[in-house]
Amino acid sequence: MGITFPTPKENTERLRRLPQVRRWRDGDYTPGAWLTAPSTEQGGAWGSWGNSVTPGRRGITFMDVNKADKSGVPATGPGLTVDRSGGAAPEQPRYQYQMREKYECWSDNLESLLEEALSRQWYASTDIPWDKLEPLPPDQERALCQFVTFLHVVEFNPTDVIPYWMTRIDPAFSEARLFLATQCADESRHMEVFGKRLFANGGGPGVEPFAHAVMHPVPPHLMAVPQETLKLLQGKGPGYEFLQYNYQTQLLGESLVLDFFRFGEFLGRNPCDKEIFRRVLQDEARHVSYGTMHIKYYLEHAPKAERERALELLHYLAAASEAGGAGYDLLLNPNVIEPFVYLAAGSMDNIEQGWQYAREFWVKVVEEYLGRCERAGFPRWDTCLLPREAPF
Amino acid sequence: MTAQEPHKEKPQRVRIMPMKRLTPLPLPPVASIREKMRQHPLAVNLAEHTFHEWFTTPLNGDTWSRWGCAAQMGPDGLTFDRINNVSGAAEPSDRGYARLRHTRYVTLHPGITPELSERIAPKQAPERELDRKYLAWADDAGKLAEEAMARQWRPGLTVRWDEMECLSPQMERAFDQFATYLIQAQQFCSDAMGPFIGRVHYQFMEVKTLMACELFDYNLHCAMLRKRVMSNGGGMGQQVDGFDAGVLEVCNEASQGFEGFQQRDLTGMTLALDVLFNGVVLDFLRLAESAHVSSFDRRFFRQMQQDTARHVAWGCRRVKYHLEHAPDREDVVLRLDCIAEQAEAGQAAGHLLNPQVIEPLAVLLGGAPEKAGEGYAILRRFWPQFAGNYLARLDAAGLPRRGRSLIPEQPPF
Amino acid sequence: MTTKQTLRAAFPSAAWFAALQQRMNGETERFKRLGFADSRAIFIVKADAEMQRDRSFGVVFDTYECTEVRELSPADAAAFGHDWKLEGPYGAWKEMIENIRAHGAADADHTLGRLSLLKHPFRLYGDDQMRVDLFYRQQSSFQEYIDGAAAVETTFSP
Ligand SMILES: [Fe+2]
Ligand SMILES: [Fe+2]
Repeated sequence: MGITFPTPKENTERLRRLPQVRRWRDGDYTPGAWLTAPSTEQGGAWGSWGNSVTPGRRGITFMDVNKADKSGVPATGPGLTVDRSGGAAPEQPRYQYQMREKYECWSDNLESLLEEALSRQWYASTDIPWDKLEPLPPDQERALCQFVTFLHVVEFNPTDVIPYWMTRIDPAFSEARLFLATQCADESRHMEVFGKRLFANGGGPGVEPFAHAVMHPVPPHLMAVPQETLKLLQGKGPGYEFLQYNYQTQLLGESLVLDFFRFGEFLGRNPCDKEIFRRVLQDEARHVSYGTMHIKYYLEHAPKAERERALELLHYLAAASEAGGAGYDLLLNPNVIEPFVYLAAGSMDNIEQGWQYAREFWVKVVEEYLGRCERAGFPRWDTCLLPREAPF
Repeated sequence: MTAQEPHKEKPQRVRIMPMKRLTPLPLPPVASIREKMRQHPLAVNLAEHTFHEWFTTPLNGDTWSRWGCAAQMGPDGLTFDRINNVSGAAEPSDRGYARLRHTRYVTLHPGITPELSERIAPKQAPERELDRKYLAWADDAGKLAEEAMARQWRPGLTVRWDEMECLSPQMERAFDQFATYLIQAQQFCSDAMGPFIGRVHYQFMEVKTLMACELFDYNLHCAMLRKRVMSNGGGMGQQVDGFDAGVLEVCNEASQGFEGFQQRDLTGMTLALDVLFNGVVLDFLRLAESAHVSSFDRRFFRQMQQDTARHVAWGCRRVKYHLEHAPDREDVVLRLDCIAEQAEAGQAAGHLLNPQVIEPLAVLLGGAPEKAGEGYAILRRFWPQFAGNYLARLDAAGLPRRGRSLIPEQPPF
Repeated sequence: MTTKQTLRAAFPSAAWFAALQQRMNGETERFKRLGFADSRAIFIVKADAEMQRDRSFGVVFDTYECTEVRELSPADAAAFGHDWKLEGPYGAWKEMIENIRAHGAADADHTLGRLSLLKHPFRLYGDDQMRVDLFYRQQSSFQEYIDGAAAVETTFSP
């Protein structure tokens, strides 16, 4: 590290020479400016003062707090490390957070989504009625476990990447950071609950869910989107702008997963499985809602040139993703769709009914996805590349 | 990112790689895309209405590995430990397998050769950076994760906002300034540790879960403190600078801003952030709980202590595990000592003696600004605990620093 | 399930939904564990062979409670400002309620999610996908509300 440190004794001497420490040693306990400084509004270094909220039936919410806070949410973060409505003296440092514009992270329903997320946290070990699991016919347990195996391995991913963007957001937009933290907690719990479900009823984990795609990749001449373009889209990682993640994961990917969960609830045969899917779909719907409404906010509030660029990017991402991995391939994963079909049918005798259910499901999934694109401000009813009807 | 670069602003404190923008490649004509989608092998496959490997593979322990193994729930619910005991993968192996996003519960497909698996999941990918057990694991990680979830603050059930009490304006101001510091401290922790989660290999899923809980705790604390500060007649206070001294530098060094492909130092980060920094916050919270605050505010501090104590415990166990299992133990001790020194030097001056933290706390302890002297007297009496608790934790973690620590054992004031 | 008193009501009627409301509001603790629920819902019982005309009921969920129940005329329904509508033929409602009565809560084939997933027999819809998504976001609470039918002695009078 190349730094030499003082010995403990030297260090203590150094500390004793600090101006505030000298004062305290001399018995001078006069508090600094913080005790009397006027608030920012009055040109002082204190943040804000006189905020009062009377608790309502749901206690004190961010909606209440923000209504009472006269300073409001700025369009551009001031670069302070203190939370919004805090203050700083002119000589205190400012920092350049990578995401400092409100439109880069905000959404109109953010405060209420955050409250809902805080209020609807749950615990996989104890909030799921595990004791109400019932033995399933072996092929049904196998099908359910195969589906759950897929969910178990994909669910944690947002928690791997979201913290990078959280760190980049100016603290003036704390609600955005806080909401994203709830999503991280949610996704972690999803990996956990599905992992536990695998071993709760005797099925165990199934086939590695993406092995087929690795062993039998789509031959180049049949790839709808060239390999290089698909590689580009893998840049939905945290090294890229947040908007790309908002679309690819929160709007498209999680919208499909939300529907998978709803299908899971549909298929569950006992109160335990029903409850698992009901809980996870509630969480997932919040993530999709944030992703959608945030893109809407972005498109409505970014400066004109940025808005145009964003729209173009969104349509590009949508076209490429719908035709490729995040959209079509996900909806065609045999380790997801085939177990669906089996579970919906209940047995081999009735299997065509299962395929019929899966086809109806497909139509709904695509319709809802398109409804969300429209709500976000980039309608794709006529341009969507996902077929409106299932190709099976 | 933005067009105008304001003068004299510094880059954000917690280093993080810059965000790129995608440069689109042209897409093929729509008709060609649609045609190829129609011919997609998976679509063709599904259209045959036959079931594939998942349905036909024997349930004999090869590809389908644990048929017939069921965990029983106990009084504490269905915990990781109960699952792990029947999973055939109770403990992670010493070296992470070559896969991304794949927990140790699922058997790797035998059809994927080692060469192929290295190609689909190169070592130089975030999720495999921390793929050795000694780099990421801790003993009883499953139990720690369960505790983190079971004891997490459930504000909807436990916070009675109607019991919040008005304080005198000066005490409210002291409370708000102290809480403003706490919010900044929690946010700093979240920023510094959050991005590490994605670097931990999936076979250590309990560690990932635990860290996700930790991230959530910090933010939940921010949320609850913000509500408290912004609703009781006061408001958010003045920015506190310098409380992250030493720790920030260690964390940035440990992460390298998450740029490039290289080994990150989870242990160094947890030593500075969880053991030392959270340890200091924990002691400040204990002091605040015993100060002249309302019983409503006291419960806040108590809950935060519980959560913070878990973070400290995780840090200690991480360091301990690393020290016990790292192949190059002597080098590790040298490195961790160096990290500790850097963090201690910064924290002693910037955090433990930060006037923007100590002054409001002294007012809260004394009961009024004019009684701050009584607060300082309490702080003086308490001071040996800052040093003592930290040294005791390091002893337990196997990194004794008695006689060498830069946190003075007696108050310098 | 705790039944403090016997609730009786005819279905469909505002009184029946109000009986569910009464049960929900008597069990705040149970609903607190599920989290806030905020929705303006319209439950629609569609005419079928057994019932002659459509009936609509506006139900307002706020925090942990149900704060309003009333029958809506078509004009009322337009002005109600719904987040989502859940609609099913009388026969499907009847089957669901009888199922809940028989099992103490909806069985696997009669949960709201199951009945509405494929748009039949129930259909979940609204004017704004984001407001429809509220149903998914708070589904446990709505299922719990409907499961309250287990405690309501229901007579069917289409
Ligand atoms: Fe999820
Ligand atoms: Fe999600």
